[in-house]
Amino acid sequence: MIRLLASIQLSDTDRKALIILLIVFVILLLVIGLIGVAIRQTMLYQAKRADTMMHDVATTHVINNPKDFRKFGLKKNNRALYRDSLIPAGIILLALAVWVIANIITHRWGNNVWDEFGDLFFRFKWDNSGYPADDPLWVKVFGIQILARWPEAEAGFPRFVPEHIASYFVAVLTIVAALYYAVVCQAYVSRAVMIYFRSNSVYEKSLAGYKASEDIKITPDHPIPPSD
Amino acid sequence: MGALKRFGLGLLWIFLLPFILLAIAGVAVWGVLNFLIQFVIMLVNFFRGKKLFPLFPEDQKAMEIQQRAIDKANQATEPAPAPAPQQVFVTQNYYGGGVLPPGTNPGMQNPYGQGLPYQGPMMQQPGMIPPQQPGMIPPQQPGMIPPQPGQSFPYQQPPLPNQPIENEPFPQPKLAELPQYQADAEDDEQ
Repeated sequence: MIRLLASIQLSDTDRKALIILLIVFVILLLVIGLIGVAIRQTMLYQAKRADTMMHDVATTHVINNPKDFRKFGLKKNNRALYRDSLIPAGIILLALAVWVIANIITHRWGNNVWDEFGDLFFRFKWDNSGYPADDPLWVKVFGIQILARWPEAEAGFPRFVPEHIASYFVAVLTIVAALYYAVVCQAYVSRAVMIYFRSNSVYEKSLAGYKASEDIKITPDHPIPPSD
Repeated sequence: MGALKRFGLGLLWIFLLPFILLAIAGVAVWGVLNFLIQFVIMLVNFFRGKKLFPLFPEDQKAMEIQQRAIDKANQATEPAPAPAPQQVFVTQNYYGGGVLPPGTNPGMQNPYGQGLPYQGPMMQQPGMIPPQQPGMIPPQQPGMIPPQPGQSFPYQQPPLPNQPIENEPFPQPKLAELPQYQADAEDDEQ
């Protein structure tokens, strides 16, 4: 096996591509791991919030069974989702207002906001048409189309076009609102999971360590019960 | 070791990511519907004059139970309040033309009466000083409770500004009308 691996000879470009792919894979893994950590921290914080929401009704015994606990928890969670969604909704409304006002001023109602926002970044050629046949961009492996190489950049560096400034604001505000809303939705899921687990743990009773024979008071009216 | 652990967690998250994204997408769609529903509920509450998001009945009940428990705990720890000291307020009624209590007959007032009950503010007689007995507290009007500390006094007619008591002159007899003594001739004969 080792001899087989050693016999594989790679060209310089192949070796470089393999090293780059490995580095990209490791970086991707770490980034996704950090996102996972962020998701976990959000879940812990939202779990405490769910406990705060349900604490009073549980400790005062207003709710005494898991079904009512989950039902009430859903109502409170929905209201919390609405309250948390107000901020991203406000940001989207602001983006819409900027877009409408800019189009009223410039009379460019048919413009593509995302295409204009792309001025600020490198543009890559993502279709196979601009590549030679022996070095395509997309290849089919087991029926799935995957990237075979890094796409080439189109001519021209990123540039700032003053006429498109409104599109930049609209695009940035939309991205911020979308990310915020994604976090809000993840928070809702975290609270719902916590409420479900608490509905079982809060009302469960345990007989571990309880001895019925040690917990009886012997009086003339209540004789010792017979044992089997 | 921590980096390896993070690496392993990263792998786990890569496998779970599609399911997490699916759940978040579903919640996102529900979130839009929920936003519209809650917005309508908020508008209905607003036009009814209620709070935009009133407390749930369960939360209200929980608050009442907690408040009762707090009140009970406070009652148990508070010491009994000391009885209020009795205070007597001495008032001198110099009010001229004051309103008489109902049922009082102004004609029955005898400002110089000894031992008669004080009838409250009375009409000033010209040239007269309201009766005062030094060292004695004027008796209160019938049915009147002496004021206690902390009690608010009922509205009383404000005292009239000091008005000089203008004494009407004592009617002087007109000398011209008095019968004149005239010595008779009969008196001289006796």
